[in-house]
Amino acid sequence: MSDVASPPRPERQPLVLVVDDEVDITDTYAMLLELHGYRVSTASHGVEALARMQQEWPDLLISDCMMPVMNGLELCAAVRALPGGAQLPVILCSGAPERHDLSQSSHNLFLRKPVFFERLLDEIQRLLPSQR
Amino acid sequence: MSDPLQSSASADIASGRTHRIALLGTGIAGFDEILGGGLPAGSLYLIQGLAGSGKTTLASQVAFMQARAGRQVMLLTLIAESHAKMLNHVSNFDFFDDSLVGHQIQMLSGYASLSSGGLRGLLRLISAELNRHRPGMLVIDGFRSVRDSGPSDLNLSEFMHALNSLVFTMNCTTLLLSPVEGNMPESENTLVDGVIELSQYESGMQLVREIKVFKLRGANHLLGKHVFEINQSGVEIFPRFEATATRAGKVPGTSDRYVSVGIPSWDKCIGGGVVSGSLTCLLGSPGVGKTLMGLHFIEQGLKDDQQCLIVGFYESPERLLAKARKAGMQLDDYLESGALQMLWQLPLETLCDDLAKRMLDNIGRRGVTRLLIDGVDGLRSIVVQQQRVRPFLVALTNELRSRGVTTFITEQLPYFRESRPQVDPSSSQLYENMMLLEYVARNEVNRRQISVMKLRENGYDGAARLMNISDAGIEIDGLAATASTPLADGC
Repeated sequence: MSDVASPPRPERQPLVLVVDDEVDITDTYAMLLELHGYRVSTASHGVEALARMQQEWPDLLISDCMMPVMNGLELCAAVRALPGGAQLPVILCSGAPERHDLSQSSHNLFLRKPVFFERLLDEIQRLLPSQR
Repeated sequence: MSDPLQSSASADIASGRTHRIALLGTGIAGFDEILGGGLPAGSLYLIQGLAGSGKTTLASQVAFMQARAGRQVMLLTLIAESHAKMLNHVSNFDFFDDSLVGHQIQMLSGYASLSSGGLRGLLRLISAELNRHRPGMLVIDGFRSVRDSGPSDLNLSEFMHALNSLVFTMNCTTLLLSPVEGNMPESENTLVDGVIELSQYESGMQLVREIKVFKLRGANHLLGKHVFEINQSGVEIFPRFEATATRAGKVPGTSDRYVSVGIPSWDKCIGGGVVSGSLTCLLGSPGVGKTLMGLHFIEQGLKDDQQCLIVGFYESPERLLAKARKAGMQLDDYLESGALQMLWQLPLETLCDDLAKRMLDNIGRRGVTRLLIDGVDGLRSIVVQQQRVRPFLVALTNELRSRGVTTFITEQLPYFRESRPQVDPSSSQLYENMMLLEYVARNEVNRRQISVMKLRENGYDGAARLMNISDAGIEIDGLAATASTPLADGC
């Protein structure tokens, strides 16, 4: 179990971009991750996520697979094509992974939905160890 | 460069696991049964019912059972009532354990957050506390305060969505307690994963408590209402027996084995006894010998080293034993050894589902193969809703038949009558065998006679026969005289 983050440090806090077309999920992750000292930006599909990334480059990307406009796999491929995108940790999530060809995707981690927060937090901290 | 994270992702996919929602046992057997095994974990439930219906007791009991099982539990109140007062209300129940409070069970108030910060403030508080304590269960008492805080329908709907998502993401099974009734089309009802209602009504001067699961996503719950009691142990729920029997869908087998009824002279008349696992109804006027015949049946089972059970409603165990002794049957030793047990219950404010459960538990635990129910009108009278009588008896007799329990059931006929008894035609569908015990006048002398009304899977002589009762018990004599006619009354 992870401890609640210590008070915000003066240096820049890690930014997590959460992408899901279910606003309840993005809001819930945002609320909980902020309690652990992360900054969170949200988007409801891949195109919106790329726009957010132009505003501020995140330290980690969490994306649902099945979304309108641009799905999670397309988003992941688009991110990898951006300068510096190959190094960005990407977590993809789906409740139905069999519907996607994940073998061709370059994500770092796949999590099957439902993703409980304890697991998600563990994985984020594992992927961003130096930024805790 | 290889990426170790990718392999773990692949492993996760390769496992191909289907993520079925785990069921959280509540620790209350009857509750779990009507829920279809338990509450789907990590979901949001509304437990509603007017004041005094038992919501807080039920939720507290579940909470303490979870805490005792090692889970963290959080009790959040949205009413001005102090925690001490709330704890005091449940402290007299057996499930209460003071040592868990403050350790496994955290208590906090959300009243100030709600009144000062509105729904957003309350959600912030809940998320922070869930994050801090990571409870497996959250109980929010006084949830009506959320609506009473005056949000718009849209705001309330958004709050319910957010709360549902939060507790799901935190995998925290959450019970909301609210003093309302009915399956209303409001967000508190529609945006939760389950709605359970507690209610109560008066049947005559008897108070009957009921529980109903309106909806339960992800579970195969029992439909309809079930009765429950609140006693020293807390809430005890008795699933409606007909509902559980329907779900079980047991199909009785058949047997070609005959068992003695304990009266050799009567065995001869009915082709060697009754079929093992069958149900036999002994119909007759008061005092004609139904119970005594049932005791012969039980004694025979005991002599054959069978486990036997007598379920009685009127004659106490002591009186039954004395009656057996007078007829030459010594049942006391069997009672002492445990081969015979008696379940005696005055047919007053007893719940039929409770009695059926105790009866079947006894049968299952001890491997009972012979059962005497003395008599069926006692069973009928404890079924509060009269429309339940027949389905209840159908379910019970089917269960006994499925378990292979050879059963005698006595049924009393009116003391005074003008002609041959008019038996409810549907009764015959409950029993394989029906025997009629009557008083008859023969040569100006009252005599008892017995005849077969129905005997399945067996040839029998339908003629009525005289039945004598002496110090040696029941003896079947010769054919009753053709001139004999049933008495207009029992005397």
